[in-house]
Parts: sequence; structure tokens; C-alpha cells
Amino acid sequence: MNDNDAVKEGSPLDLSAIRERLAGTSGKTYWRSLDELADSPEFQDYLLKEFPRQAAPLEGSLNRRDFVKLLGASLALAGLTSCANPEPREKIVPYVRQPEEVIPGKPLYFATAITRGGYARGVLVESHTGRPTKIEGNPDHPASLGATDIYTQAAILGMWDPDRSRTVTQQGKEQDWQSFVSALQGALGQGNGQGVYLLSEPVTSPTLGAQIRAFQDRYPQASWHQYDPAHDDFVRAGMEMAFGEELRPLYDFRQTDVILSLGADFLAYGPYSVRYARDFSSRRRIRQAKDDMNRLYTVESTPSLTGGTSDHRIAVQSGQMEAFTRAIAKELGVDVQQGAGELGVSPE
Amino acid sequence: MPQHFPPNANTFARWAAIGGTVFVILLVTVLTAYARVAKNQVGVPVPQPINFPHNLHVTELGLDCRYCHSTVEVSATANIPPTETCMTCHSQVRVGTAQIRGLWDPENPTQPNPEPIEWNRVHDLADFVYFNHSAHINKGIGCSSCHGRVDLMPGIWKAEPMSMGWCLECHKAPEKYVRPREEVFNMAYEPPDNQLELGRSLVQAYHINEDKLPQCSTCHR
Repeated sequence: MNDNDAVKEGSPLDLSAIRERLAGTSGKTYWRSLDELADSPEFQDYLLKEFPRQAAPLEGSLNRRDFVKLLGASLALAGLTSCANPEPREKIVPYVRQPEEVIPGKPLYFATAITRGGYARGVLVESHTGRPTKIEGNPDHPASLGATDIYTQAAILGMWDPDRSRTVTQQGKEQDWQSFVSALQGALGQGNGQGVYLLSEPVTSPTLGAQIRAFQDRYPQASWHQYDPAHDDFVRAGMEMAFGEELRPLYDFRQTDVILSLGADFLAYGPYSVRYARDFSSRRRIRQAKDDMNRLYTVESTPSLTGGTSDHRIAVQSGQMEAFTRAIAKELGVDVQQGAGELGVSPE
Repeated sequence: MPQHFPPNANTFARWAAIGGTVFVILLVTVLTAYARVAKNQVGVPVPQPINFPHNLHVTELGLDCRYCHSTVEVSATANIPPTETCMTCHSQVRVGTAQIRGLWDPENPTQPNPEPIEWNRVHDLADFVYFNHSAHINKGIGCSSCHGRVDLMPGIWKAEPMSMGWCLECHKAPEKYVRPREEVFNMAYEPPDNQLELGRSLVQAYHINEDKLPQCSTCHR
């Protein structure tokens, strides 16, 4: 704040002038500094610059006490909102055309799929007169077997998200399909799609893939970008190195006796996690004396559900993971050279 | 020592106490009675956006309750019919007449109005009560037992108070009100002379659990 040097006559810090001004007021006034009390134009200017939003209450007429009084009064009277004499009649508003299988009061179950990382998982959505309320797994779908994970359960909230886009938008403003089509036609024209970019999530749907490929055939210069924040590009690169093609691994944990997971959170993460969890746990049930449990070893750098479930878990720095893998491979008899880097933990 | 209270203070205090007690008792009684009677609105016709006469449609034309209130046997709600149901007839009968003005589309009188009809609810239970129509229909409680002779009503009004005490009359002694399932939709059914005997056999036959009926959690879920 300003330095209080000498007090001059007529300046804001002229105490006698302030006393005169205060003499006319009644009740308690509070101030935090003499400048505030003086309330000079320089002070107000300073306040406005420093606290643009808080400058306003000083100028307003509602002080803190009145505000709190109003707060208390509205809380006390809030109960009266339900009083209405005579009570307004409740309305029953039926459909104009009732959909065929909808029975008000009984839920309808829809078999649908929720994609994760581009891969679909079959679910059953419970719907009450058109409003989806609960998602459960589809027992007939191999990726679900009647179960869901937390993302699928939470996906119901995505349907009710008030920010969910319901129409076509252009730069944030709502538009309709017709303006989109005309804009698109204007951009594409009769050209070959130069400068046109299609951005989508990973797509595994054959229908959508065929449609986009038809689009690409028509506009060869247009480029299609698939983006997923948690992508599996490295998985595909690894599979290509291993098998010569970009494949996606599909594990059958019903057959495995020993599982080594090198940082793979297969029980909780990924589109097939639900299925893997079911298969994995099916090998851990002992019903007869001759049954054997499977064994899970996990080597990971962050705590995960798979690590928590595993029988043996080793924490390894992510930078050391490669060296560790090479060491294990060497132990298993695979012909690899020793990787660079210090190995803090023995692969024993 | 000067007295604070005048000599008649004792009498005043006595009368005030008695009068106050009487006043409180009267107040509670009157308010309760008013609340019960005014809220129930038994016999008071409820105005509707379209004046639908049940007597014409049910008695004269012979429609069954379930033609419109279609889900009464399977669902908790009996379902006020969609406009489409009305238009099954009114797209050809009395098309575009003033009596059924809200029903038809102003631009095309043989089509239903795209705006749904806002009916005024007549039978309204509190939100903390769970009532299931199908449970009652399937166990032999007739429509007219609770809703009265709707088939003779030119308008619509409550025939019974729908208060908890009224519900408990049956829930405590279902044999007084149960009727054979075939007669559930027979609005003119009168309980026979041997109702109690018949009722007891029906309660057995329909597996009505008389222990569970008067329990709180049956209705207050």
C-alpha cells in the first residue's frame, strides 16, 4: 500500500477530516487500513486493479451483516416452498404414441455394446420408459460374460452428462445436420479431399470401417486419424516384430498354468479385462483334490490390480524393465543378449 | 409487601388453563378433520383437459378397462392410454369435433395431437407409498372395489378416500373384499351373501399371504 509519510492538510490521511466524516455515521464501521477508511479515489482505483472482482462489494449497499441476515431468513423460510393452497394438481402426461414394448413401470433391457479402446463389449442396459438407468454385462457376449468393469458401470453417467453434445456443433455453437452437410460439401467439393482430416476414436466396427474406407476411396487425399489417449500402438508394434503382422493378442487364461505379467494390468485394464478376470479366476477354484491353481507372477513399476492379485510381485523401475525382461528370457533359455542398464533386482 | 398480582389473577389463570386446553383439543380435532376431508376430495369431480365420459365409452360402447389401462395386469401403474389409443376410434368417429379438441392434430384431424394431453391426476398416493396394481388385480381385487363405479361416471372422481386406514381395512381382512379373478373387471359385481366364506377360500386359492399384508414394509418400501 502507499507509504504514509507526512500527513498533509486535505490529503486522504487527514485524520481530522476523517473524524468529522465518521462523526455523522452510526453503528459500527470496519476498516482494514486508513486508506480504506479514507476511501479516496486513488484507493478505489488501486482496489479495482488489484482485486477486480472484490472491488464491487465495497461500492454496493449490502454489507456482510445484511447478507448473512438474508441468508438466514431465506433458509428459515425455505420450508414454505412446499406450501400452496390449494395444492397444485399432479399431472399425468402419457405418450402420444407409446412405443411398442414399453410398459410404464417395468424396465426394458437393451442388448448393446460399449466400446473401449475401439473394442466393443456387450452389455445389457436397463431402461425405464426410455431412460437408461443401469448397465450390466451381457451374459451371452464373450467379452463380458455378464460382467462389467468400473468404466462400463460409470458409462451410464455419460448418458446423463449435461455437457454431452446432443447436436452437431461448429466451433462450440450448435448447428443442425443440414449446415454440416452444406459446409462439408463446400469443403470437399469435387476435389480429392486435399486438406480434409477425419479424427475419430479407434474403430473396430466393420460397418464404420467400411463407410470410412468408402469415404477414403472417394477422397484419396483425405487422411484419417485415430486417436486414443491410452493407445496400444506399442502392442501392435511388438506383435509385428514377433509375428510379422499387426495383430492383437488374445489370451486364453483358462488354459494357462503359470502367467508372467511384465507390467501388463490385464485383470483391470483393457477391453478384454473383464473376460480375462473371469478366465483367470476360473483356474483358481479348487473343487476336487486333483485341481490345481494357476500362478501369477507380476513385474511392474506401479501398483495395479493385477499386481495385487498376483501370487508373486516384483516392483521394478520402468527403466529397468527391459533389462529385467532380457534377464528372464535368458534364464528361460531364449537367445537374447544382455540388455544395457543396471539390474537392481535379481531375476531369481 | 405490595402485591404484584391483582385479586382476580387466580381466577384468570384457572380459566386460561382450562380454556387453553379446550382450545388446543378443538384445534387439533378441527384441523385433522379438515385435512382428512379436504384432501380426500371423495366424490368431487376433477376437471380434465378433455371431458372424457367413462359411462359412454364403457357402458354404452362396451370397452373393457384394459383397452386403455393396458398394463394394469403386469405393471405397478395402470397406464393412462397414449393419444394413439383414443385415435384408434376417433380418427374416424367424431373427427375434429370440439368435444375432443385436444386429441386431434389441428393440422390433420385424423392424426393425434403431437402435444401430449396433460391429464389431472385423480388418485394420488403419497410418494412414500408403494402401490402395485398388478399385485392387486392378479389376486382378485376388482377395479370397482377401489375406484367405484367408474363405468357409470360422466366425469371422474374419487369414490374412496385412499387413506391408509381405508387400505388397511382390506389388508387386515382380505376375505371381505376378494372376488374371483374372472370378476375383477366386472364393474357391476356385488359381493355375494357368503362373501366371508368365499373370501376365505379365495385367499387360500390365490395364495394371499395374510401375515405379510398388514406389515409396514409391504407398502412403505
